[in-house]
Amino acid sequence: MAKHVMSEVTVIGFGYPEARNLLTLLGAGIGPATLVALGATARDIVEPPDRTVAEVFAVAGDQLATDPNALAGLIEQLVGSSRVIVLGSAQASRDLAGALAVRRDAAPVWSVTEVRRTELGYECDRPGDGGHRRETYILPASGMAIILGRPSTKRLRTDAPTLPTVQEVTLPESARPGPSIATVAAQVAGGRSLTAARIVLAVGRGIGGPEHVPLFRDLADRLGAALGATRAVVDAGWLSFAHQIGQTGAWVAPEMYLGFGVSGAMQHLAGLGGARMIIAVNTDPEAPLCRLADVVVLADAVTVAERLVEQLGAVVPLPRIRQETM
Amino acid sequence: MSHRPRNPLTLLSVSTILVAVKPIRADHGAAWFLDDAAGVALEWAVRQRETARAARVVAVAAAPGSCAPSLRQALAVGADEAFVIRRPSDGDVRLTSRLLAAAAQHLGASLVACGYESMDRASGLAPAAIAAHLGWSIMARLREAELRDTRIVGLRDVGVATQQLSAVLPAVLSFTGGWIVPRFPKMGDLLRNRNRKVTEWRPDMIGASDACPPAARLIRTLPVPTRRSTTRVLGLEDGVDALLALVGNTGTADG
Repeated sequence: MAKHVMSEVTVIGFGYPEARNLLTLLGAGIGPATLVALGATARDIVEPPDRTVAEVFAVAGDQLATDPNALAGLIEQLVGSSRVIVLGSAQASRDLAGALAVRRDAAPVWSVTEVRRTELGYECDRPGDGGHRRETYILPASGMAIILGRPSTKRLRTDAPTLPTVQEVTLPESARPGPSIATVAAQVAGGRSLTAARIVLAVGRGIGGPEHVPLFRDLADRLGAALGATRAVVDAGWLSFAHQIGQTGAWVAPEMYLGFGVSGAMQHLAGLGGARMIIAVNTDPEAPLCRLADVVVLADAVTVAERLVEQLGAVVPLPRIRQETM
Repeated sequence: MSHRPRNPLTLLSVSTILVAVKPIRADHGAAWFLDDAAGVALEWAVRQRETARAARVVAVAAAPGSCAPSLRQALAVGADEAFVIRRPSDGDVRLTSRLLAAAAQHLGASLVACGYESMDRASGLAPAAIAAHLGWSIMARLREAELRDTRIVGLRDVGVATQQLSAVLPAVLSFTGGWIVPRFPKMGDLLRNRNRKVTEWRPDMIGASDACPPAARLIRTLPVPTRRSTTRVLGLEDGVDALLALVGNTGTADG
């Protein structure tokens, strides 16, 4: 491995786009960071990051997302003496953060929207009280800290950064192999990542029942939207956990969020902090989401969805997920 | 005191956060109760014992106070034994995971099942941190799992696909909701367990330190200004037209 500079902050993303997006969390007082793109090669890194970075590593390997302990061993070498490690919030990042927190005795903070350096030390912000308050934490004066950042639509304006040389690293085989992993059911062809989607269409219990889920999946396909859900819908088994938005699910930052039959429980609203425009379709004008929304359509969610599907016209039907059983 | 299982499966159902933050539920008359996420893991483990894939299920909580009622609820649902590790009220996921990993070793467990979040204030790091302490495999956010001899096989939804994971035991698992539905304890089981002893451990009794490494400290909390000053309220017809116009102005390419 090439000898590298010791940045105070290292940003680690699963894929270069996530790593690049996480740079937007870095605020005042933070110098050039080390950027680590997991599951990427130098050929994947063609666009310069939006912020000047000290160095870029591209890490390839078969067990990046399944063996966090082995990955943490390599990351420890790459981060060197960095004080702050910034990761995303997807499962693989949380697994890696858990392993690093133990191995490096690093203090974790999650749901972070900004980290900066002041005369007091490193501070970071995160939403509290369901998004009604902003909490500021100060990181321990010594030792390492791990920040789990929320996705952001924030765009940085920088002074024409250039792309530094990308150093490629390969994850060595673990002494104790982690779980094997295989894709056993192809999801809908148009299935989109919630955290990266420009439009998110979320459904709540107000859509009436699981028999209406295909309608909203169809509408999401036609809109080019990622399909999200409230915890109540997931707990009821109408959609899988991968669709859950909120405190205990995905944190989204779309240009537009459409909530159909979503009342807006605090648990769910906590995941919407990054949405630029919120639209609520609900028959109850007093629902918390309606009070937060830019646009409220006071109507039955299913009726509105049917009208929209009708108006948007036909699209090629997409294959549906097969329900795998053990 | 050593607790050796008759079978290599032991469940560690930990609900520190739930125990610490859930209010008294007057309608149940209980000051503490299990959180939903831990309930899914407990249900899965009990099913393994009921189908003879496991011999013993043990519920363990690392909590700053006595939370025996919630552990008795776990016993009523089907756990064979329950323990509380008394931990300091400060400290973060590093302390929680250290104590639970020590308990797993003390009990001779070869499988730890967790809720996917909650036990450590929703960071979602605890399962991986426990696995790191133990040097075990981690299979996180499973919707279901099956023991096959010396392996554990699980399914996980990742939004764009369903993944099958397979690992050799020992391992740490975490479960999401929606697929495995926790059972309600029967009244008879609640009554039978209402005075059952829940053993409390000090960390040193299971070979663990209760030292709390420095954690991030809250220094300020400020109200966030109201997000919206005006809201357009529309009916069905106008609403559909407005949505079509708004969607048409929003690019759909994923960022």
